Amino acid sequence: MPDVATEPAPATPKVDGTTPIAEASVEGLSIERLNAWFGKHHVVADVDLTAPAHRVTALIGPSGCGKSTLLRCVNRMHEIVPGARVEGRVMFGGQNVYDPDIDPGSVRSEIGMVFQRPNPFPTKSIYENAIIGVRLAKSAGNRKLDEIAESALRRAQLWDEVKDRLNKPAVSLSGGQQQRLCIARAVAVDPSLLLMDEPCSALDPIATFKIEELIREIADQYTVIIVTHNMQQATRVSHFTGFMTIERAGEPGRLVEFGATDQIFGAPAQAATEAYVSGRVG
Amino acid sequence: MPSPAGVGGGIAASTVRVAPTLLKRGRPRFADRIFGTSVSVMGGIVLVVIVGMVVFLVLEGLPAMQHYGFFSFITASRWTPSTAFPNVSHPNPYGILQFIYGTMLTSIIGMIIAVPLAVGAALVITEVAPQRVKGPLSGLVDLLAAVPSVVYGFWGIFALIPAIKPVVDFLTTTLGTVPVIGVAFQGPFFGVSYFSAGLVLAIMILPIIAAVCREVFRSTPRNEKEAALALGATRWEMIRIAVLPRARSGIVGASLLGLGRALGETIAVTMVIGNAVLHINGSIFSQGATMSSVIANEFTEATEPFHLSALFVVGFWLLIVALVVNIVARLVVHRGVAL
Amino acid sequence: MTQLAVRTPGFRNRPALRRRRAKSAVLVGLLIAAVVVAVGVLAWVLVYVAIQGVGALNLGFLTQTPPGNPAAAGGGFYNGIVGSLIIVGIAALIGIPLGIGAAIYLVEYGRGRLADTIRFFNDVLIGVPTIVTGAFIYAIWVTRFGFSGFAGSLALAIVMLPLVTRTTEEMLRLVPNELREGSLALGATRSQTVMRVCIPTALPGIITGAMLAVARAMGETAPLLLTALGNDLFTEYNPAKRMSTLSLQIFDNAVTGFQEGQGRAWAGALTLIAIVLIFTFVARFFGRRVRTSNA
Repeated sequence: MPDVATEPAPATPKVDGTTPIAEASVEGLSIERLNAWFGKHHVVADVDLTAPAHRVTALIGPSGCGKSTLLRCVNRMHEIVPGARVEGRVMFGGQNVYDPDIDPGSVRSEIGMVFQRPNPFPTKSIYENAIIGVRLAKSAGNRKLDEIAESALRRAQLWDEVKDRLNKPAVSLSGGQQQRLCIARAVAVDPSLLLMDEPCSALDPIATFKIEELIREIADQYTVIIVTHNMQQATRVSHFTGFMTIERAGEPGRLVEFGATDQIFGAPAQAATEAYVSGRVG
Repeated sequence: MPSPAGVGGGIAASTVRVAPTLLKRGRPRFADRIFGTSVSVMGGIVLVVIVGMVVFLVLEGLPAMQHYGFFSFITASRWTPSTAFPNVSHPNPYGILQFIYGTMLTSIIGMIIAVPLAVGAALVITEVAPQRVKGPLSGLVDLLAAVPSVVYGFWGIFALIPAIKPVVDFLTTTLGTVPVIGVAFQGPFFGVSYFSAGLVLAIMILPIIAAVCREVFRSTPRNEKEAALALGATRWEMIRIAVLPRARSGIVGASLLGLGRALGETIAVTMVIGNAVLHINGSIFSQGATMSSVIANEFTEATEPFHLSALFVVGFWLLIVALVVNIVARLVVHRGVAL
Repeated sequence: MTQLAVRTPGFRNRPALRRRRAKSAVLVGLLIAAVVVAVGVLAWVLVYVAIQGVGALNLGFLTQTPPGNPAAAGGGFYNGIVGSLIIVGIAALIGIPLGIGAAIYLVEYGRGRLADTIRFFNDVLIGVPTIVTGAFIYAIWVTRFGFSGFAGSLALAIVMLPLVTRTTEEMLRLVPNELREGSLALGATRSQTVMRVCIPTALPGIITGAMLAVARAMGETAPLLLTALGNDLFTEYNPAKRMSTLSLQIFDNAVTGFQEGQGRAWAGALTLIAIVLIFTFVARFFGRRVRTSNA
């Protein structure tokens, strides 16, 4: 269980369909009645979830339960697939991300995302990959870029390994290093929210360990939501956990239970949660 | 499992097998060997044809090459078949430099116009167009390749050239008067010209370049495109960061394929280039000739001494250039898409 | 490790973002302009030919030969149409089976460097200028046997061969290996497996490829200039003699100074485009149905 910061954590709403949702603090995230479709196929239904600021929230559940889809709804990546549709609200920084006035590009540039398989841009160097988000936003002059790159690579725990070869191609790194580079790329733009979609599932155990360590280190600076199919990982890195599942084949995924990680794994309130975390199901 | 009825009379009822054997070895039957040999021979035809082309073009061009000397074709500056005499071997009246020039110039003009258009079209088809439009749009661009070259030439004379005349006349009076580079843009413009041929070539090679670029762009991993979008990139920025950088060698390969096609195009070029075979003309708006156009034009009336043989020399060089460009293009494309 | 300042995210359109979006809109607009130009030119060509040709296109055009005097009106390109059908027909009879055979070799029999080389040079052959192909046939055939429709067919067969090989090879590779193995396991020989299982399975796609190659051959002019030579006077049905084709007739008549000759050429161009487009569309339609049924 990671160290909780000295100030008390905000009250964690347990979501079981009856408890009203507490006000999210300014950097936290609040998902309200979210539904998502791929064409006619309903994949996520009626999710209400609050991810508290400066904490790591994990989403767990069996494959196909819609947790990655839910994650991608947060930074409006779900809709890039033709035919994909979202209903509901995602409140971030006091604004609804799906407000028609708001440009999806601006949403994505405020929220960082790390993908399941590392995806650095292969024709660019390590340095270029790290700062590309900043370059796009043109939010810093050239001199600052070096500082930003170093800071981001340090936070991603990659600096010492690459500081002498920043101009080498990003693909010359190992898989685990590439993923840390992608994390550096995501944090370089200084987002308030970081989304991680099974970031370690394509990596070996040592690389996984390094990334989990990294997540614990940056936890108090960011709001992190991490999707993972690895329950032990959820217990190692997250403060809060949401459990999603589908009741029957063909049904959309739903958020069954949400609470402090200790409680979800130690004393789950719902039977479905208990069945999953005890390993009997999924 | 396919029904045994579809497989000839090869089921030997007398042999009982305990377990199915996948690639049965053993004595193949005679007919089977004949079949195998035949298709191998058919496979080899391609190589035979290419080698045969080189050999026979050399053989037919040999009389002229022996009479005038191998290099004189490139060093002589004029093509004047009427001054050829059987006993005179110097100077070579069959200088081919202007045809090489014409081929290169028209092809380069074609590439300059076609490559950006083709890359743009391919990007629209893969990254911009809505799902339902992609297929028809792609089919329409491909249809440009189906139009026969004689139709392009015909249309070029009567539709394209009159349409560009005002623009070209304007250019000759403006760019044509600029010192130094103005020489390349001087009038008078009679319609048929290097430039007109280059324009028609551009239309003809665009579909090939676009088709290869389409495949290259389509092979961009979705993962990388999503990485760009997740950083907040606009559509153009996503194309610029995730799609184009990987596609560099593929675009080069596609362009080379287009170049290869442009080099060999004959009929449409012949119809709009003017067939001025005497020597190189400096302006792109003047008439000229290409290696393929001079062969097409003069072949059936090549009665002068060594005329026909000299045309084979032209053909030989055209073949060599086309083979080299196509080989390099294929190598680049194969490496590019496999990236 | 440095402590980051905590920010309030704001999604309102900042000026920098507005500029980026505007730039993206402009550049994507340019890209769209490129495809509009490409499709626009296609439309221009097709419409222009249609307008020019439809006037002179009538039943007489399709059934009569040109008048003796090129300046006279009337007549048609019957000899060219017949010539095209005969020459391309013979070329198809030669080129398609050879192309399919070569593809069978590449997919089912060929191994290693030799097969790779053949495949590579097959693609290279597609890029050889067709005028050179004509010159080659002239050198090996016409010099011995004279100009003839058959020489033209040989040249067109060389043009068609690599195209058929390429598409047939793609189609044969799509045949699932399980089918081959099932056939061999039943005791069939390789040749039987190929001819009775692989080819029939891939047949629709192979037909598509063959039709596209035929469409291409119908449009060729350059190689025929040096082999079939053309015959504007009367209809020749014997491929051992020189023959005209629709493409050659269009070429010859387009560059004459005579209005009527050009009018016939336009009608010919319209006919040729119509034939080529019909073949192309039928071939593609066929191919699409194959793909969806195999999906």
